[in-house]
Amino acid sequence: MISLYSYLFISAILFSTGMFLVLVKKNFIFMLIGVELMFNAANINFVAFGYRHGHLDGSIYVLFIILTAACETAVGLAIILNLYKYFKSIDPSDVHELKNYES
Amino acid sequence: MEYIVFVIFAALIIISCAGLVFTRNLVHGALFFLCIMICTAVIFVYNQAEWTAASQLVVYAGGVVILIIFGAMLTANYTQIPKLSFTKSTVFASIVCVGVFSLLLFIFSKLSATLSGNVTQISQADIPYIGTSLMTRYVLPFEISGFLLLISLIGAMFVLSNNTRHI
Repeated sequence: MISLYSYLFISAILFSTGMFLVLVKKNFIFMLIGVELMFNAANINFVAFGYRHGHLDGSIYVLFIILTAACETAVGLAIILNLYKYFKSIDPSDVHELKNYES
Repeated sequence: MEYIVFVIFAALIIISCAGLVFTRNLVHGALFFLCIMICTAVIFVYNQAEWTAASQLVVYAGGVVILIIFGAMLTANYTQIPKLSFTKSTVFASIVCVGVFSLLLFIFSKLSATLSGNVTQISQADIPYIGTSLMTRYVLPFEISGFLLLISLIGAMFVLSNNTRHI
């Protein structure tokens, strides 16, 4: 029997790695991967606690989270590709204007 | 035996996280991400959530990784990402992340000390319960998430279409 703490340890590792990627990487796609890792940390917690409490509602919440994460990835990649078309870069520090004021 | 397999997959997750932090190639990063997703599905199977593990494999390992690789290959210089440099912001971010990690471990150790021992076995099977409750108790979130999927697909197509230049 694997203890609950092992699952929570893995989830903590995933969450802090995702946070590190979002904070540090100078690349929009790596930041998106970091957000997905944080979603997965929450998913592991949901499933582990649901199993410990003896009902399956945690799995249903995980399903909704997976669906929302898929939507987020699709829209996020579309925005990133559009930004790349405009700024020719996917470095977050190059993207510093919302609208081109010159034209 | 069960424990050994669990430790192997946990070690794979940790190694892939380290690789994801230190890699300079976006495609390698996507492959590390794929490895993490598969190991997470294995952890779901350990918690008797087989259907969730299957949907994790289909959606993440099948869909999201492909999307990320597409996005990586449509942007230039995806193999030459600048190395992690020890600037002030990197050091600060790693301090914050280590702090969050230790805080989470502290909270989780308290939680699992109170929760240990009282495992109640899941009585019903996985898939019939999920199907029934998606159609009865969780029908409103189910419909809303379907609508969200539709909206996000249309929105992604609209953002990527050429019309946005004239707005």
